[in-house]
Amino acid sequence: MERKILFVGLHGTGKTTFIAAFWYFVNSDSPTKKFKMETLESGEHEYLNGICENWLQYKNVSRTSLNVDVSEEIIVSLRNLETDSVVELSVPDFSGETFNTHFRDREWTEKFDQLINEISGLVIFLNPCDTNNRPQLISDENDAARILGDTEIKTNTGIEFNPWSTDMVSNQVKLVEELQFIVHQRRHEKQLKVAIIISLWDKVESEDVSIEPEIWLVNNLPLLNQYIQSNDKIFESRVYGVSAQGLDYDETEKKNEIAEKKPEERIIVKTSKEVSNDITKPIIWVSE
Amino acid sequence: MEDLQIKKCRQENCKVSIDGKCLESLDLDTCPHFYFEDKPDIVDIEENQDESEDRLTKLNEKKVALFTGQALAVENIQLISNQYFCQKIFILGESGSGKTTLIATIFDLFQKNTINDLQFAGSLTQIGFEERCHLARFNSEAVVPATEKTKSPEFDFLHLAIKKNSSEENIHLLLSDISGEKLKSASSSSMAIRELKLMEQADKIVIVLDGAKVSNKFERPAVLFQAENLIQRAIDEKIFNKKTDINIVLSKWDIFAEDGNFNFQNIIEIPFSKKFGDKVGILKFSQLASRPEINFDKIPLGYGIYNLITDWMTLCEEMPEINKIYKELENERWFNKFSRIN
Repeated sequence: MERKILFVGLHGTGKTTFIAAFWYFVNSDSPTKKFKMETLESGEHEYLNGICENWLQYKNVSRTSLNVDVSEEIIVSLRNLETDSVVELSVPDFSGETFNTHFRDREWTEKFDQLINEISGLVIFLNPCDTNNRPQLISDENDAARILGDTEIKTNTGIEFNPWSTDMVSNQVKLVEELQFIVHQRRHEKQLKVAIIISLWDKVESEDVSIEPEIWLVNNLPLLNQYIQSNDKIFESRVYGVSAQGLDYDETEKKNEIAEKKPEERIIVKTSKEVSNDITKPIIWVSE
Repeated sequence: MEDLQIKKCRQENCKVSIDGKCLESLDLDTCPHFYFEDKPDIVDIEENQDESEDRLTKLNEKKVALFTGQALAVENIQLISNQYFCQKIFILGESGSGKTTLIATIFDLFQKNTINDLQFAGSLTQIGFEERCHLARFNSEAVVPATEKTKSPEFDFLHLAIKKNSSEENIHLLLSDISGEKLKSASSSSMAIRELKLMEQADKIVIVLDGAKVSNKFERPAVLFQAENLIQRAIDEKIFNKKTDINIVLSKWDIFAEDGNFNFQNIIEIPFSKKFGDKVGILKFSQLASRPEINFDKIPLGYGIYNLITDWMTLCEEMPEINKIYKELENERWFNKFSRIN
């Protein structure tokens, strides 16, 4: 039975780097690999090889860094070598603009509507460094200032407020809305598997700081976490801390050290149970 | 100008883009779902044919309308109440008393954390909440949290689904928001209160007393007088009766935190209980500080909100048999919605 999985992520959440590293795994000779490629458009192949080569060379994998003509949407068919089942990964757009558009315009295409009725799972990407993951409340900032001894009495008198727009809405509200759109538009009540990938995990954890990905989600996108947890009849979820890049490319010394190892060894995939280098784990779990 | 734009509607079945007519036969200027969308830029098409063809293809793709996320007018609440069994909570109070701030703070609290054992389980009116929360956010440029005055003279409803840790089911609330001016006229005019007959459908009534005014002995009598008048008129018009559940909430409680002279029981509880205790079903009293401005160390953000929400949710747990049957029917309707399409 073919399973379809949708990649969801706003702009700059690490989808492209994840796919670049994933593509390396799928096409490598690794004895532990679980997937092989089934079908792909030729233009898409060129694009995926391009981002994969950049990833291998510790270069930026952004779309603009490659001079390859590729459609906004990429669909990759993979065969699970253990179960012999086919998994179709659907990445509607690399820029993430599609999801912003859904929130702003309150509509999506019939094609997308069809897709969300066929998927069995979602992979949601988050950027832990994005300050817009949750709203910045004035009361929080004022409380912090008071603790530091600020006694100034503030007033809004004379201030011209910025008008509200959808661009101001936090990522957690937008992601909850995308999930609600999906639930609302699905014409059946089959449970959805949701893998939440916290990208740039190397920036979250360090030698001195260790945190479980689930706890990070609770603390940083609490609304999204609550929504998924309280709707456990609809969603079965798992949270992954993933660094597909493995390090900041500006860290020359670390880069030189890591470059001595196998390419996949710089990948970090952390769950509450284990840390590994296997970037296919979230996809395997969602497609099971 | 209109030649450069396409007529669009957020409602799935509306054909305004084809025939120019509103699905609900409204003037396009007044329809809340109608909007103009820019047509593709002609210059771009000439300069970059391929790119523009892609854009045109995208624009011409058939679209499916999604729910608007806006607060719902009363005629639209069935969009939610047809799907879920909902508790209707009517929040009343004069302008500036803190009705909308209460609603906005509930959403802000969920964006920070759970509210004790209460979890956010969804909202089909997140845009409505976000608009009401805007002036409490940094990107509004405000320096102290504020709430824009509610202008709507009709009830608007915000939807909120909540799960209590100990509970299996999500509870769906519809929270009303209405301009304080409308309530002021209702407290002094039988005709105006009759326009609020919708309150008969309330599962809970919340009357918010402006704590800032109550703390001032010169303003206090007028605030209490207006609230008493509102309740009395609603009783006279048979909108409130012996089944009505009323919670009288004193807002801005942070003002009173250190005021040993303020006797909540004598000033609020006893007078209202004496007057209305035997005329309505339940009469209770609460203290609230949605966004405390003083005594921060004693009164946290959202003080009193947990108790209010748990009160709003209790009716479901103690639901009479007739409501349980209704709920089962609602669930069946929800299921049928999907099976019909399949």
